[in-house]
Amino acid sequence: MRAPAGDEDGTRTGLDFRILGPLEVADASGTVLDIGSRKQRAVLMLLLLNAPHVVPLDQLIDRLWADEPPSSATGTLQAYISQLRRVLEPLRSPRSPSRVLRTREPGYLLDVTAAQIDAGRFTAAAEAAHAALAGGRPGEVERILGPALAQWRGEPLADFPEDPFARPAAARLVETRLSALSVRAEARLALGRHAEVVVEAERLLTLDPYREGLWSLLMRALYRDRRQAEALAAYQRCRTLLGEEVGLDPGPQLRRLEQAILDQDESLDGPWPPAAAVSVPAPSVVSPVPVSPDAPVCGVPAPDAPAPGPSVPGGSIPRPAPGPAGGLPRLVGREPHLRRIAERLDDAGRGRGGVLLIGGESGIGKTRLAEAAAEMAAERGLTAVWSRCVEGRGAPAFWPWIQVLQALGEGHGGLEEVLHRLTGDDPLKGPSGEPSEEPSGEPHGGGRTGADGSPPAVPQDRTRQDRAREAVDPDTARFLLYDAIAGALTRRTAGAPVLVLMEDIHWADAASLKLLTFLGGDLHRTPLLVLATMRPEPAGPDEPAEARQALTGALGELTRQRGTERMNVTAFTAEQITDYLGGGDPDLARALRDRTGGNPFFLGELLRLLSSVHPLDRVTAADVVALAVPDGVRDVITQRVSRLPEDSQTLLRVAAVIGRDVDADVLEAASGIGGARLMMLLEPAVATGLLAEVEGGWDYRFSHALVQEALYAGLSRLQRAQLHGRVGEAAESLARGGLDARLPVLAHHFGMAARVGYAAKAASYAARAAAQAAARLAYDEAVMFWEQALACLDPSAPQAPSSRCSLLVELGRARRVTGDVVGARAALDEAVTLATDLGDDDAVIEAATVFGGITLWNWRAYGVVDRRMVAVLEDQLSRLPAGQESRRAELLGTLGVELYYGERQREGQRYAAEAVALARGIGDPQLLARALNNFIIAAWTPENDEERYRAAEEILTLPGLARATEIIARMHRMPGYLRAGMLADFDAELARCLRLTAEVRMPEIETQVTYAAVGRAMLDGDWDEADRLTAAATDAYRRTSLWGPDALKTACTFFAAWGRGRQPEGLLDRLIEAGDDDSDRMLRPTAVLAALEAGDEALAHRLIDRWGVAIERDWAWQYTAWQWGLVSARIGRPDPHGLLEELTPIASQLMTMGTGCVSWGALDDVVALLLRRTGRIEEALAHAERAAGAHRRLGLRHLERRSAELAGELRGALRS
Amino acid sequence: MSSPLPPEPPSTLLLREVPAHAGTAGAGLLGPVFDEVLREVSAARCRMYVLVDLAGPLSAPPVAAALVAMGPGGGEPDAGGGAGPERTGAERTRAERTRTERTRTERTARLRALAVSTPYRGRGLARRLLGDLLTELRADGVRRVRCLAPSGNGDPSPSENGGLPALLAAAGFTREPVGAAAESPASTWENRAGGRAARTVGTQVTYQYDEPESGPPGIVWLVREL
Repeated sequence: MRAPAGDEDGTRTGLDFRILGPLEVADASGTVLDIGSRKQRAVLMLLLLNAPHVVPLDQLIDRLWADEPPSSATGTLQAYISQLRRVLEPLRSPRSPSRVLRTREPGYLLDVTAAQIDAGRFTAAAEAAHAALAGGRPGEVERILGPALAQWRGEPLADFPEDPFARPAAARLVETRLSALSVRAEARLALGRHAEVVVEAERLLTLDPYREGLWSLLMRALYRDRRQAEALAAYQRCRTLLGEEVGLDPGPQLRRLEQAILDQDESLDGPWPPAAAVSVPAPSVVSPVPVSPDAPVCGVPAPDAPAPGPSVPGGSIPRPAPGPAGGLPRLVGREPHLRRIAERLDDAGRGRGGVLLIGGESGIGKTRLAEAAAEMAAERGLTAVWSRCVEGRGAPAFWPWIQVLQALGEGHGGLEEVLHRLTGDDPLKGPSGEPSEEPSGEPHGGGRTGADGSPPAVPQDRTRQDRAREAVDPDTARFLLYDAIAGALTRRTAGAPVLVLMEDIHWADAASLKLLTFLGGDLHRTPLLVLATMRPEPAGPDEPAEARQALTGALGELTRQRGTERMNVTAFTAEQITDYLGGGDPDLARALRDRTGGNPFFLGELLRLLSSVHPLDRVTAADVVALAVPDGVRDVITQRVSRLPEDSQTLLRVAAVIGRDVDADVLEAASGIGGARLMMLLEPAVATGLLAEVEGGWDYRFSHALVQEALYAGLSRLQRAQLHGRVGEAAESLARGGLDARLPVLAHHFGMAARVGYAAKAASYAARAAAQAAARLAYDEAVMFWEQALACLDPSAPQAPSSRCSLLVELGRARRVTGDVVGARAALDEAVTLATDLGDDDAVIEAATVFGGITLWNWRAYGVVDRRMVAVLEDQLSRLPAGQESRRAELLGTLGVELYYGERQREGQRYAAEAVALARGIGDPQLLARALNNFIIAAWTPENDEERYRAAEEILTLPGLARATEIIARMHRMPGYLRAGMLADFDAELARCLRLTAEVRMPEIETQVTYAAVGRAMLDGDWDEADRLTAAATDAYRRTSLWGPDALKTACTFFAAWGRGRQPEGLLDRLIEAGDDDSDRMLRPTAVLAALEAGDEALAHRLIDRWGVAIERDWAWQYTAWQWGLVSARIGRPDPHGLLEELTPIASQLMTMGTGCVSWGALDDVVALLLRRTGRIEEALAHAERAAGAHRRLGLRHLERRSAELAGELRGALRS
Repeated sequence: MSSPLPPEPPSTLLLREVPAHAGTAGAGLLGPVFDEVLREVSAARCRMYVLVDLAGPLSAPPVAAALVAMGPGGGEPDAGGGAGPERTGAERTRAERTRTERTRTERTARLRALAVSTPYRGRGLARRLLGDLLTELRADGVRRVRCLAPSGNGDPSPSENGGLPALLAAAGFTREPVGAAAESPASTWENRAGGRAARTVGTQVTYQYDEPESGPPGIVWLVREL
């Protein structure tokens, strides 16, 4: 809404409005304008009588079209408004806002000054004349009133004799004129022009014979003109008239005058009486300039002048007004929030920022609170910057941050640079322009690269690009990008604190949320406070579940950070509603509370609806109860919309499909109407507050998200689809050169319209948006767009299978980066099948080798070999032409990993080793890193520990290492340190990995590093810390779809409890249940141990009978053997001798599982136990003492104590 | 003629103005009368209004159409040849459109034809279209809209056009006082015109007001002041 620009603008138009006679408007040149038909003139007159205040739209309709339905009447009114604007401002371009006849919720106003209206000028002159007379300057009166009276051209408002709205105004103007004439006569009397005044008074008395002031004037004029008898006769005439017609005597003043004349009182020569003889216009009624916001310009009270008090006057909804209340803005029911925000703002001003999350359902007043925060920030000298998230996928990645950086960036090179990296293309490759051709209906587009070398929409042969991509390493790139943004923001805010208001982060893209959590960690030492609003309600049916998941993850992480706090905004109580209304009937407040649940937006909308239905009445509780609205704010909005012209409704529905922010160009193109008509049709929506004009442009914005949602929700699915198609076409045709910025929007609209003939475009734009998102390191978005591209692909298109195959590979790649292993696997499996059917070996290899990329962990579920994938890889290897050594190395390495969990494990190790040799020969460091990593995973058996350790060392020597690769190599090296008891090295590496992980933020890596920390806490006997870290690791792990979060959590929980010496309820049952599942068979010895801990030896035997005691030579071998050793030492199963054979050679190693998630002390302990079981007590004592010594050296107190106790027992046994 | 709230999804109909040239959207809906009017009146002085469903396919024809001729006589050529060259392009540029809107200063217009596509009959769309176009004309500064009254008697198909007089009455059209027409410089052909309505074209009914028929005595003008 635009504020009136004030007098300057109004007078510059030079318009002159005349109502002292028939309504007339003249322009600056004095030409009288044609202001149209009677109804049109009536509209202008109503606005003029209230100028410069708003006349609510509902009241205009109520006064002029009471008998018509509101929707058609609103349309008619709008036509008149448009035509009036054209007449009043003929030079205004149709798309610029009117400066004279303005739209302002809840209606329209005429932005003119009193001086532009003849009645205003006249009223001012009448007052000035009266003041001159009262001030003893009768000589000035004639000069003041002469020109003013000359403006009268007849009866005021002469062309509206019958209209109720005009009558009081006209009567008042007539009255003012009579007063002015009386003042003039009084002045003339004072100047001694007695005879003249006699004539004038007689004339005026014909107009209003009941005015005693005029009789007084006449009597005094006659007296001074030495006509005493006539003066007394005049008194008698007056007395007769009043007595006969009204039954009254003349008033005391007139009676005193008669007496004075009889007495020939000397005072009759002066002014009479001391109080003026003429009726004085009350200043509040006739005022040259509005003395208060409620006083209209030309002295006619607004027909709807807002009544003070609790009533809800037509159209004017009470708004919580900002006011001084302890330095805080006034918001009903929000005082505690405001106080806290004020404290946080003060902190931010002192360099301690953070994140303030404001949660609350839609319409609860989050934005009002944010606005208040912005005001308070301004008072404190903070710069406030707004950004808003957009529902759906229509916005580019990082959109809320792009807005922030744009607002803060001006003149700050650092911010402009990072902004460019967010909005430009690939920050790593430099800008890439527009693809060379318009999207064809088929996503392949034929070409592999754009004319300028940019990536094609759906790249096909990506093996080389894949390598290049791994070289640039998405996670490192993302970290560097985030870090650059953080750095630039820190520099920007240094000494100039900033409040960022980020609205609706429940709609933010995953990349933006990640950036928020990244920044959040450091904000407590930066003068930057982020106030983010969000809705708590669960995902709607249209909301992608992934998006909500990203939000949940981000919130979880944020709230763990220092400087982050959450606040909830809740509904109004009935008392607060009373407060909101400014007092009044508690029944009304209760009825409103019942209807709206205390939601302030709903409340406001309901009051608006009520006031448009009862324009002049006070709203009562009964009205609220009687209102025929089904519950729900959407229904209220729907009813309000239904009062608009039908064409306006249609346009609003299209606008709702565009989104909360409405690009007027897109709306114009989508609806096929001109800009001027578009503005005209949207006017009533603006006037009724459903839509707001965006400052500094001609775009619109729904006043509240709920308005847009209600309109959108009302459409049928088919309507939505068709309208999305139209909007997509419009956005596409308008994008022309700048398609890049619109890719997500186009993908969104065409995606929603895929079922009604836009599938090809939906697929094509989604693919391009996905490639763009991936280039901008927004992988979650990339996944969504690849999925959309696949969903929209037309299966009957000629190239459909190969297009689908390429898309699946891209989807698999993107899912892998986000940690969704199962999803990635599914996509890649399908891609392999498709490519095999197509006979496209390149595609098969590309898909099959994605999983041979660098990973910390085997991506297969525990114990699973995918025989089909193995067959595919072998088939490709067998047919690979000579000379393709890189490809051979990739295939061999991948095959090695794939064979890990089966009987061909050793063969797989050889393949992986061969891949390493090949890669060394080729001399490509990236390829070598990949092959070495394949080897580390393929050869993860106890006998290869040394070789694997060396492979990890070798990776770390390679140049150009990606951050994730570095962490992975370090992590592979760490269990070796632990087993060898090199705890100082282990600790140093762990600390380093924890730091690096914070940068990379890949759930898979984060999980494993945290697990390593769990094991370390166990060594220290810090069981609480172990539990806490287990929970954190499990959280992170669940964000991947890798095997194991539950199994590992159970194992960690058991051993932490074991260390404490007491097992939690139900854990044994969970372990047994898991052990029954073949894919969790790793937990079987743990379950048996738990049974023994519970004292149920019979159960332990039964479990062993059921499950057997296999010890597989995989990454968990040492751990499994250790546990069975513990079991065997207690019950003699499995065979202690066999276990001793396995464990004695490695007795000096510390026990650790996998990447370290369960770690215990030296295996000497279990060897000692087994020896005791077999009766070799002396040897057992030696091992126990060695364990105690090792644990003492390493400072592992609880382990030292346990070993020492064991040694003590053994000594006792020896003695006896 | 008020229709109850439709149980079906909300309306996404919108009034659009399209260039009045042969083959334009909705021309088929109006039938031969469209070409007849265009032969008499320069296309630049005609306004073709169509009601389209924005939630329909892009290629779908309008659901209703109306043809209005501008000027006091309802479209006789200006003496000075003020009518611009006929535009044949489907889409005028915005600047052009704006300019055109500015130069439209006629105070009177004449409704020449109005039709609703068969599948959409009976939903009050004629009323909607008429209301919409009156609003449009009013916003453009037109003060009065005239049309020839459909004859009430001897109508061959009352079931099909029986609603027309009621429609016009509901929209505020009233009989023009005798002699009032003389104020406007009506051309001779107008005096030959008789009020006939409801001409069946294919499956569509076209309301038409300017079909030359019998002599002047039968003429009744309706007028709607805006």
